[in-house]
Amino acid sequence: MRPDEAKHDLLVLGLPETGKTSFLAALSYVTRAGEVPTVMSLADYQPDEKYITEIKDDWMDFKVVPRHTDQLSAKPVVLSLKDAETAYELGFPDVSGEIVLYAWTTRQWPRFFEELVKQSSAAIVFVHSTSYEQGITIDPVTSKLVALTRKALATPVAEPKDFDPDKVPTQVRLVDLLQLIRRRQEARSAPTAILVSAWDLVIDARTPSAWLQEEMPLLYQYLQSGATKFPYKVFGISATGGDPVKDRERLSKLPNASSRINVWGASEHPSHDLSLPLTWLLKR
Amino acid sequence: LEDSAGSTTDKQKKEEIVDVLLQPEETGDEAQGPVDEATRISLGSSDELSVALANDILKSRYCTVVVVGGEHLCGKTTFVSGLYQSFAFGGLGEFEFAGSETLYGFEFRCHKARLISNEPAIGSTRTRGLDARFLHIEVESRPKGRSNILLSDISGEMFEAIRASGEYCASLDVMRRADHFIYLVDGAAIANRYTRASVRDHATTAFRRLLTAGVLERGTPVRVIFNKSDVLRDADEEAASLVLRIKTELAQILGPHFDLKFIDLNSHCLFDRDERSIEAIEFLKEWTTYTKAQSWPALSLQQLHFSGHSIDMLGVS
Repeated sequence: MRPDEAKHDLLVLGLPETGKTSFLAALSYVTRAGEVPTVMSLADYQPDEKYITEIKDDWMDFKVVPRHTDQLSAKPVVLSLKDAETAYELGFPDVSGEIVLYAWTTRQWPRFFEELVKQSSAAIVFVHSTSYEQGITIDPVTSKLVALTRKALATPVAEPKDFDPDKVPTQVRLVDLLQLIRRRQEARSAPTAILVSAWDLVIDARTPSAWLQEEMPLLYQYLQSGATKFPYKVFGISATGGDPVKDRERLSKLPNASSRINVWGASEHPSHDLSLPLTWLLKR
Repeated sequence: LEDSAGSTTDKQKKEEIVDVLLQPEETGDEAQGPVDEATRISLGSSDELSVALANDILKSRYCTVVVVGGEHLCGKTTFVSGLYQSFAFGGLGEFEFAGSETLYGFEFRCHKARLISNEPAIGSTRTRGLDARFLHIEVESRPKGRSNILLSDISGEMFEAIRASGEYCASLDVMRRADHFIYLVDGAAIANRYTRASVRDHATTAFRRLLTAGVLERGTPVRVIFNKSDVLRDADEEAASLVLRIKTELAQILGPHFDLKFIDLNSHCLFDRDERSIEAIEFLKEWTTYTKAQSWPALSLQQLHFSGHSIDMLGVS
């Protein structure tokens, strides 16, 4: 490694189907294609790029980018990227979302994941903008009506469903996960980028940070209260620009494939530069 | 909790899935052997804390210990889990959620209360047994900074035992460590003329026992909550008279020695996004303002005896 090179192991986390692999595919494309201005660009090819080539090809061809099952273990995808000053060797372990999913219920994770957590210098946490567990919420009006109706009809009260730990709100799982990770990173202040994927589906004018505050308030408060030691930033991303199948026609008419990508939260206006969250993480 | 883990069949099924999931990848020339413990890392429980585990937290950081007591079905668990739920709806005034060692424990307790918030007969899950259990929450407020709070989740059975046995009562060192003591009175039981007589008797007897045993230290803030206040509001005049009588008697028993306040509350409102804030903020303000540990920084490890088990616990020297 040259003196102006920096090696970073990034921890890439998220529940299943939150867009981790699509992000990786789109990132590798946009930093190589040179179709739009990006802060980071390809520095060098890796000796073995079979996996990244496959997912990038799927992404380019409007195919749903599948998570490749042979990537279940710790082997990170390495990307060599550079900005104006530094070349980075970035390790992206494409960790299965199931590991995150079951950490909550089984209270264990694989040893290789433990090592990743300990080695990583920054974390990227994926949250899907529309597909997440909110938990059972209370509608005061409905519940009052139910209670009144029961009273009026003198019907026996039905026993509520048993507690299912798999149905807890996504924000609770993520707080639990971040607590576990941060306990192992006490010695260093690893920054966290929260990437809200499929941001094109958020049709209101909220910023990504405001979205997190309203949709996942427990996670937002947890991040906010720990922000001095563990800096964080929320980005909205659309790595595919829409549904690769349903929106294919519209997406194919864009000037280039990089224009499908959009990133919100890095500056006032959205950008096609998917390396912006990385730039933020690496400059902490 | 035994019943929180699901049925045996579900558990086995889940373990099988996880075994497959956590199995190291076979990469041909680097084929791995069968899964063993060396391939996994235990993450520790995030369920409720036993006294011993609560002690570990007390040893590592300043904590406010809040003991929440009361008879069966008075709403203790709903009160405790409702405070956590309030944070899940958003920040509470100057307070932000900063973490919890017992997220699973809170979620388990919140489940039924979330499902049907206005059905007192269901409420949250019922706590059983004579051992205290604790839930932990860390909050941050400006300019105070971070505060750790341990909330006890103790059973109605424990209060039956307190009323019945002076010896048992004297063994409750967890009460001595209480920085704040919350006693919930079941407003629905007062509203019901068939159950109201016992409410007064239970409340006054429990406090007399605790004072006689000397486990409730003088100066401890005591908050008596008349819970299910919505039911109480619609009750007859006799219920109102009884409330007044209970207040008068408790003031006589506790008044000269304790910082006593009476509060009307419907703890189910803590599960209502729009109504949760005011009460929850007031409690947090009190709990983050006064702790014995902060009042007496010269702490010593006391050998306490609780439920027949010898334990180490931070106490006041």
